[in-house]
Amino acid sequence: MNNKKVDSVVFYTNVVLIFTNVWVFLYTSLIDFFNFSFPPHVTETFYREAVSFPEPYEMPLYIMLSFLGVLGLYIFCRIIPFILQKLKQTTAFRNPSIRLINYILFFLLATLFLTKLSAYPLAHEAYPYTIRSNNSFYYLSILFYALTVAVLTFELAVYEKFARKNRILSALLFIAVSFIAAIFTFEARFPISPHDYGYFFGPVYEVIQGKTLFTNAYTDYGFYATLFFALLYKLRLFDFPQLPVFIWFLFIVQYTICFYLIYKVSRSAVLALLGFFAIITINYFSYSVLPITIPQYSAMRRLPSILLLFIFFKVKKIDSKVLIASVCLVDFWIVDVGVSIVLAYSAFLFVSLLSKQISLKRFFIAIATLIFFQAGVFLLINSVHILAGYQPISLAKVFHSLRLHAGTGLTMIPIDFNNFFWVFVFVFFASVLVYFRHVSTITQLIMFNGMLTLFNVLYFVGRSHPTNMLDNSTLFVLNCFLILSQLLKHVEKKYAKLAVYITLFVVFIVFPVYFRRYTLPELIIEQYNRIRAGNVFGLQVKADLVREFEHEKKLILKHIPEESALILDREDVFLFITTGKKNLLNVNPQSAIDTVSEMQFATKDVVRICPETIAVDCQVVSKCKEHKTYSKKDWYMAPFILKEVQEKCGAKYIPTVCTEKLCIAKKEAL
Amino acid sequence: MKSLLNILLLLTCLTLFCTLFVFFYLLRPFTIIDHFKTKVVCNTNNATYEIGPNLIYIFDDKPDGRTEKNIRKLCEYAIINDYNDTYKTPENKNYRLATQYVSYGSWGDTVLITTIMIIVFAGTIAMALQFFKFSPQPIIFALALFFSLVVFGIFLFQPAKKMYCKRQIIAKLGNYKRSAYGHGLQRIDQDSKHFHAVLAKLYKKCVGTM
Repeated sequence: MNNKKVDSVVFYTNVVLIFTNVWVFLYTSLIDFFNFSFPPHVTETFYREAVSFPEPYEMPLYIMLSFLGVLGLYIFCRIIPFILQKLKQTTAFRNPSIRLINYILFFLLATLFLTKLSAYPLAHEAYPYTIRSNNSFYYLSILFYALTVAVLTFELAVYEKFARKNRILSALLFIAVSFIAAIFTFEARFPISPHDYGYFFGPVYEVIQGKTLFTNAYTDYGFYATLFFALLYKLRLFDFPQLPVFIWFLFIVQYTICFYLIYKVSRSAVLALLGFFAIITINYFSYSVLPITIPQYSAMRRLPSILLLFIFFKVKKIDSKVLIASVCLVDFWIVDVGVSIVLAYSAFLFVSLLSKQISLKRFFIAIATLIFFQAGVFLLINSVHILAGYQPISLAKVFHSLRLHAGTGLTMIPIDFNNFFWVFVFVFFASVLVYFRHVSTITQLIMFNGMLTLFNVLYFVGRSHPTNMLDNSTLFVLNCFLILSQLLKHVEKKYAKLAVYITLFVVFIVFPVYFRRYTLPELIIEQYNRIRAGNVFGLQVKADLVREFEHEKKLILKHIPEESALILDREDVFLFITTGKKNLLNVNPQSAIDTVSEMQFATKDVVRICPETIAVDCQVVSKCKEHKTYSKKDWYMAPFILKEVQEKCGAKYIPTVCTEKLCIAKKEAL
Repeated sequence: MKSLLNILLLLTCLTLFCTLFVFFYLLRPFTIIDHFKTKVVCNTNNATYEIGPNLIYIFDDKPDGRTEKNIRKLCEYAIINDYNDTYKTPENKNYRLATQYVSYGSWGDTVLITTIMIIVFAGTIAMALQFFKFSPQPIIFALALFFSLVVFGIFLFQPAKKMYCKRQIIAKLGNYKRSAYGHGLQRIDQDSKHFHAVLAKLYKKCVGTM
């Protein structure tokens, strides 16, 4: 890279820094202003009021300011060549004073930006582990991890150099990368966090048992995903304990596609491998617990976006029918991701229109096709439902559910004003500038990824917990490396390239490992210990369910002979799975109930039937003291549901027979 | 035609300069008590409590009467939210505050935003001048600058000050609410009548004394 190029990069970095600094200032000032001037109100009645902190302005403001930033950068890219031409200053950077100002400005703007940042997400935190007294253990772990990554990168890069011209050997490179991703993310016996998996198992179970999502079954995360697993179950291709295996597979696919995209765009194996390991380090190993134990973390949510990038890279046409159809097929895999993907694709179409990559006619045709395909997918799903004897999905209830969660501010966390997240905004504006400066298939890919990141992180904007930033880090780091690949094309000298690679290695791998040094080695040790214990491909959940619910299963099957049952317990999901009973409530798991309206929806059928016998947690009917549970002891709805059912049925449920955890209760009229 | 353009330019520059002054004044940084990090340290057992997450707000330099009571009760009984006043307030001060401040905005932001405004304004004027093929005398700009300073000093200073004070009030309330979010909005707003009264007093003080 010659001096002129460096000056130009510094100049455009300054532009991005200006936009980012102004964006952050306006965003942080305006949120408080809107909240003060038009204070939000809680319109729903909550069982636990502490979960409701509405943020009506955070997301709209985030989108609006980003949109204005995109327009601003577009105008900037349009007028700068014109101004330079007018001033006859196309060679402005040859002037030493202008060069000096350029660099001073960079220093000032970068300093201003850095003052707005907080530390790396979860930096220096040890949760859920305790810090060891031997500090050198952590530093040795950093060294070990960094060395492993460096050696693997070196070996694979050398291999790629020899294999480059041979198709089969090149394909082996991708297999090797997938294999490494599989090893790095492999958790022997596939452990789960029962509480979190319950939010997937529950709705899937309900659909298997004949209920329809949104219409008479509640779902917190999955939509197409829930239907997909239910279908596989019906086809005998899936069972509940296999879900973590599926999620492991999604992680492998996610990381391999990232490698593929960086490799194909940059044509540099070293950069692609650094990107690949950076994504694994930041996305997988920076998390507090083993990521596959939390199903909603990363791959399950972000893979649809990454798949779309892959498809776009293949079809290379923004309004391609294949791409639009893919958007419609994968978007509502998870509910909130669906909204993000549709918005991201529409925004991508808009910037393509702005940059004259598509005409107004093509823009409207693409939007119309998107709506048509989306309606088609929805109609197809509904038709399948009706043909299979299910109730159709109520679109009104889908929108009601989305509005309820957006409006009530359920479990939302306000955004911190000093935030590492502003780096995401910086990279977004960088991708916009790269795109507007020069439109090509690669910069289009960068722009599309930028839009997908922008809208995927809406989840973080609403629930601003650092782990949600890590959840979105795959798309973010991928975009960093795609942008860097464009800059690195201008670096010709070998030593300069090596220096860049070392810098990237330190910034994207060593630093994250250092900041997460208290948990990362523990996660790896946990992985290792699980492998050492043997039976690595056995499914832990299977054994857990038998062990944990053996007596409760017998109790329910003996005393509730009916096909459907009301089981009021925090382990409802697992009790239903083990007993095979149909759920009388329209919600599974019960912890998904937060508001009075959700309670009415959930108990609609129960209060009509008022069952003679129910199963209820022994603690709720004062027949036992606190007992060990399989699921995490989170917010507990069983007492509230029992109260609601008793009131509406005009009866009281009296416990008759119990295990150590669960009782059978009979109805007695009041 | 030329004199009309001169007057128009003078008026435009006057408006733009005044806008710049108002924004520069309004966007100046300030510091407030950080409800996330400021702690109450109890005298008897050295227990520490972060103020915001325990529903304690300090909008001025020191706690107002009600907050004072709440802090004393917190240190004495380890309770918050005694809205019905069931616990007796300790007579003597039983705590000290480990105050942390947070800055809202920075001089860097102020300079950056006003510089962008200057560039946009200058660009707009330059384009307009080019459109009318009009080359004004520099004295016009000097006059506009002088008059805008006068107009700002006489007519706009007080409104700008009010906006600046309101910005501080908004930041204080926002900082408290965000730090206390874990209780849910309804519970935080239980105290809204009281903290709005405190903030109204502070606003008057800010407008009157600056």
